[in-house]
Amino acid sequence: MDVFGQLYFGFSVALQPMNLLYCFAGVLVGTLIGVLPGVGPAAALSLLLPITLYVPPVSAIILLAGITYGAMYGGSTTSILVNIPGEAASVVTCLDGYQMARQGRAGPALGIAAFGSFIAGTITIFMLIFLAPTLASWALKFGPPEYFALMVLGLSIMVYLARGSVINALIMVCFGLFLGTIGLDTMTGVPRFVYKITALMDGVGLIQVVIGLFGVSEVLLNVETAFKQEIFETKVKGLLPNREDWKRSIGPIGRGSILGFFLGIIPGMSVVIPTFVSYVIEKKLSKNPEGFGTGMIEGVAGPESANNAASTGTLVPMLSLGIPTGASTALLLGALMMHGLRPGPLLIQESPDVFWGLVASLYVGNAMLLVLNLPLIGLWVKILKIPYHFLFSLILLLCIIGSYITNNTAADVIIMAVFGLIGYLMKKLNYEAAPLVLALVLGPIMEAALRRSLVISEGGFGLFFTRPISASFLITALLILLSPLLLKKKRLREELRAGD
Amino acid sequence: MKRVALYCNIFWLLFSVFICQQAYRLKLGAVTKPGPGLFPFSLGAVMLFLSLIALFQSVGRKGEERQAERQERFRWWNIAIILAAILAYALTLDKVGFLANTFLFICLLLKVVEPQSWKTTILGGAITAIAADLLFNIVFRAQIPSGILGF
Repeated sequence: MDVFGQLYFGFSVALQPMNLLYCFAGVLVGTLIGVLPGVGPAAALSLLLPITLYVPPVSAIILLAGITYGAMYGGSTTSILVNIPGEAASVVTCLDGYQMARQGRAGPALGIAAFGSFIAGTITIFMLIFLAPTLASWALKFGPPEYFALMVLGLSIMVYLARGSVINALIMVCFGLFLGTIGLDTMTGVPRFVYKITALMDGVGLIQVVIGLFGVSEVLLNVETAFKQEIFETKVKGLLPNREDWKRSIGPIGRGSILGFFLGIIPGMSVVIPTFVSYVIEKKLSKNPEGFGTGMIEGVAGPESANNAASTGTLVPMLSLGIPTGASTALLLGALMMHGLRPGPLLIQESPDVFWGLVASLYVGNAMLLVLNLPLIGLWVKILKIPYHFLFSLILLLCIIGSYITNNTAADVIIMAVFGLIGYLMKKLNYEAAPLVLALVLGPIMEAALRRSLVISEGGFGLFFTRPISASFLITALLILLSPLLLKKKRLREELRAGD
Repeated sequence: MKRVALYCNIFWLLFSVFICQQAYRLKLGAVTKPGPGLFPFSLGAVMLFLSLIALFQSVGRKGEERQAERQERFRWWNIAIILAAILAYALTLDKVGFLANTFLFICLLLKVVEPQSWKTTILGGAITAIAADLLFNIVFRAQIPSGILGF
């Protein structure tokens, strides 16, 4: 079957009434999450992950993916209307989007954000269709050393792109990998770091860790001071951008789509960095760069397309190699595993309904968002007015239920609370949670690949450097990790020379 | 801030020593036949190295200027109440049951963390508990315990 035949098959899966319903629920919840500040897509995914255990795998993955790109739409709405980015990926949209709203052009800003996202979604789905299977067939040549090296590379990029100290990010990776070793050793059956606690026998649950780190910790951070809620009203008129708006936006949308997609593939880039890069590029290319920040439609069209494209891009390594690029894709990977699927190069062959169903649902979901979101803008603004004391109580309750229903044990709720406190301290002390989550997901796979490689090589570490693919991955990882040090040295030398 | 970073790095240093010691007890095996302790031991060793670098960095760093006086009161008790409430919820769920526990949990948060009127508190608690029970136990059939009250 050719690509278009398989895509047709994907649409036949995605358009089944039940899957349509899950897709709708996903994009709706995603938009809601995007609107609400303080609840990111990672927290929402972890809260809904246990519920998806009760639905078929295709529907589960369609629902969860819907949340990730739905959040991109929701975030832009509040950025433009009330200058509150519900999502980190929509921070840039505030710069020009809110200024447009203040000039009475909220409608075109919202319109171009929605149309730009839709166009970006459409373009990048086709890029995903061609790139993911190609990458997967290439990855079939990978053995345990290549997989180990690839995971080292993924974690290195994540560390390099982390905010703040590289050492702190590396410590988080080690901590995440350590958490992944807790429980019964899969090769020897020996319990590790369990200390007779039954709940730890199967390891530390990804869901409990993520809910604690992203959901509970965010609430704890918000209640430590009095929460202020200020909402400004902006009138929305005429959502359709005019011909001039389109003329100015079509270039940024195209560039944002391609840039967002390829940056999204790189681990650690997430959906946030592409929006900043897109904004800077549009400003550089503009004939009127000083106008940026005063309500330029290009400043909305580019980043909004980039964040949607990046959320599709992040799916490429996850679906074709089984390597997540951030916390959200790590959770999607976790969802696939929980449903007994094997993420990696064989996923497309073994579970074509999941892969092609998901791809088609991305398109269906984007269309739903375009049709639904513009008329619902008033509702999203009203939701922002929900008092925080109600909101945080509900978030905490969902955190508890989400942790509990995975295994129906109270111990899981306690583990979640512990990670809530750890997450809170991490935020206060500038440690990032994303490298930890990625390492926790990759840890068991990475350890198994390392041990298998050592058995194959009969104890020699040289195997990692004699095989070209694994050697190139490891050398790249090493260069990435050492680059801050080298750049620092170079800068220091330049400063000394300037001082002379 | 410098002192906090120092304590933090000392914690990671001690934690990595603990990992190494515990992993060593699990048996490292040989490089040809890796044991269950080899990977965690290597992780502990890397972490030890990293925390030592971080420790030297934090010792060498000049003391940062004191942050401006905190503008808002740090309400640490809210954090303690929330964590205690979650623990109490987890430990009593089997006996008290989902509906009653959820009602009490929401009431506690609404009354203590961001104090609301009794009417809002009780109404908020009741609506949330009933809606959550309908959604999770009836729609999703999540089988969360009903407890001694039987509902």
